[in-house]
Amino acid sequence: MRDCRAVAVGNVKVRENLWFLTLDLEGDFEVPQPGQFVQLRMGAGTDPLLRRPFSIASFSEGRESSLNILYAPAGRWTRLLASSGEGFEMDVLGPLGKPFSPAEEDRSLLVAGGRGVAPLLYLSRRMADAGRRFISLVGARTEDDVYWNEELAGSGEVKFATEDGSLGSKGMVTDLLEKEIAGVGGRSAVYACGPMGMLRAVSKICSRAGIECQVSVETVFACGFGVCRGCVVPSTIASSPNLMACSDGPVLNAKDIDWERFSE
Amino acid sequence: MKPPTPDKPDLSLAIGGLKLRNPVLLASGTCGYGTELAPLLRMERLGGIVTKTITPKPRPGNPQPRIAETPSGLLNSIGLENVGLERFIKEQAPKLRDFPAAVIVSVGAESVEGFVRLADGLVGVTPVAGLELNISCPNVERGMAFGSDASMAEEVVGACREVWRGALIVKLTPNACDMASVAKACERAGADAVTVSNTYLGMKVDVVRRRPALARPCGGLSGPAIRPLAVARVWEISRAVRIPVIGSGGVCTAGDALEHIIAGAGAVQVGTGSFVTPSAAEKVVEGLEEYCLRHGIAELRTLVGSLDIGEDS
Repeated sequence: MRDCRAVAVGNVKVRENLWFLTLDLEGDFEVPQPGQFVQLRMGAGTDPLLRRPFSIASFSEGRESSLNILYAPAGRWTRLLASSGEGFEMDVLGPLGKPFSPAEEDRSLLVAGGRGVAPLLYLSRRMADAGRRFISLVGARTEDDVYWNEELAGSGEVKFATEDGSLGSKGMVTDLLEKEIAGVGGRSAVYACGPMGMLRAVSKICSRAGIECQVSVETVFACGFGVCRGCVVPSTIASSPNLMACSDGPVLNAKDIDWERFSE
Repeated sequence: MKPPTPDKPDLSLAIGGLKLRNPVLLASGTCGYGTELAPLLRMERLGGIVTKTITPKPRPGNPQPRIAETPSGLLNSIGLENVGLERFIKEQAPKLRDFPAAVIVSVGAESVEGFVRLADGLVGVTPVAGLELNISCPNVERGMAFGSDASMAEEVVGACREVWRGALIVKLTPNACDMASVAKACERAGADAVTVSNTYLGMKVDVVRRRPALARPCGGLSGPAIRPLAVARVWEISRAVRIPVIGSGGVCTAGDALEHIIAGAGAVQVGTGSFVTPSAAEKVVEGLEEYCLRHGIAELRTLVGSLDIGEDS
């Protein structure tokens, strides 16, 4: 884990509300695992004050390593980032957090909703490179919102679900998940990332089917590396009533989360 | 012993009997129990750390949301989530055995007896060199009670003084009506230093949902936004007491630290600054050394309270 200088060599709008940022990192940077994130700082000012967390969508090693993240210009910080062009410097703290622990077996499912595709693109690439057989399920409101970068994701099978049926099957990605689980042969595990409501639903589906489910959660972060205790996720673990999203997660076992107490 | 020369400025100071290599500490609540930041900055470059506040029993803290960003600031309502005294002694203290900077443990309780129990429990626990009494937490019921009343502050500090031989620091609240009186009471009761100060009570409103951004309506404000407030209090309190004042509030850079020091702080704490730049505290030390070299200052302590306000007031 390091706080590293980087240059934004690419900052491109890829969908109506989704941008793709490429950072060239100066010096050594530990190879991240899928599910890990970085805390980004833009500029040297005090406002906005805090860094912002982003799951790593891809990473390439080299004399100069480079990583990609996806972001939606939804708040002041991200809108500022979208308007910053290219060639500016950033500080990158990471890699942070606990990654997915993908099973050795085949027949797992990756479930992505919205910006949640980012860590699953990286997971998909790693699993494809390792020769795993799995299916990625990607959901969005409509075809124009779907983002699945095959160059990053590698050669795994992918199925889409859109609410208006403009791409893939009509409905939510969780409907698609139910269908895949119910299919012949069973499923070994589910790895999911997306809006809270989607994760809650995925967790329920997996719990009913008795399938291992790992989810990448998001909540408000301040430090991002485990000291401020702001990012707590209520847990079902008796000895540890709170899990820290930034350091016990962001990938957590769905059954360890107390979904009732976990407010949006 | 060789006297300090301008090529190697002396940044050291003493708080009670505790000697610190320099006046830069990590603030309570921003560095856990000392281990998380270790990969990101060199602890041996700092004067010391103040741990997360320990309470007699473990506390789960407040419901979330617990944090909200504000203009140049951070509002927090963590609520003293901590492992409790017993687990601290058993699990955390051993990890700090060879910690390369002074370890000061922050303690908080709801009663004088609670504070004494904590102080007593930490006697002889290596490597705890000092206690910081948290009588100023805005995020728990009655967390600021002892810090808001001079006689209550005097009672709790006096009781802890009887039990604790190491450095005894008291963290004050700026939400008190008369912080100077509370500071003087702490001095009378035997405190070795006061930390000025804990966070400022604040609120952020989500205007769409018409709800507070935090679960617990109000929280404590920290960060660059409060620096002018903190520096003013440091100036005021350092003129009210003779014991060292530890400045805390918006210290992110050496320049920020120098504001506090020149205003009257013998030492400073870096808190929220570490969230922005994990190596902030180390950079502060570097910057203080450079400042001394540049201005031919052999001993940093000669800068403390050197604020020139023109005519005497």
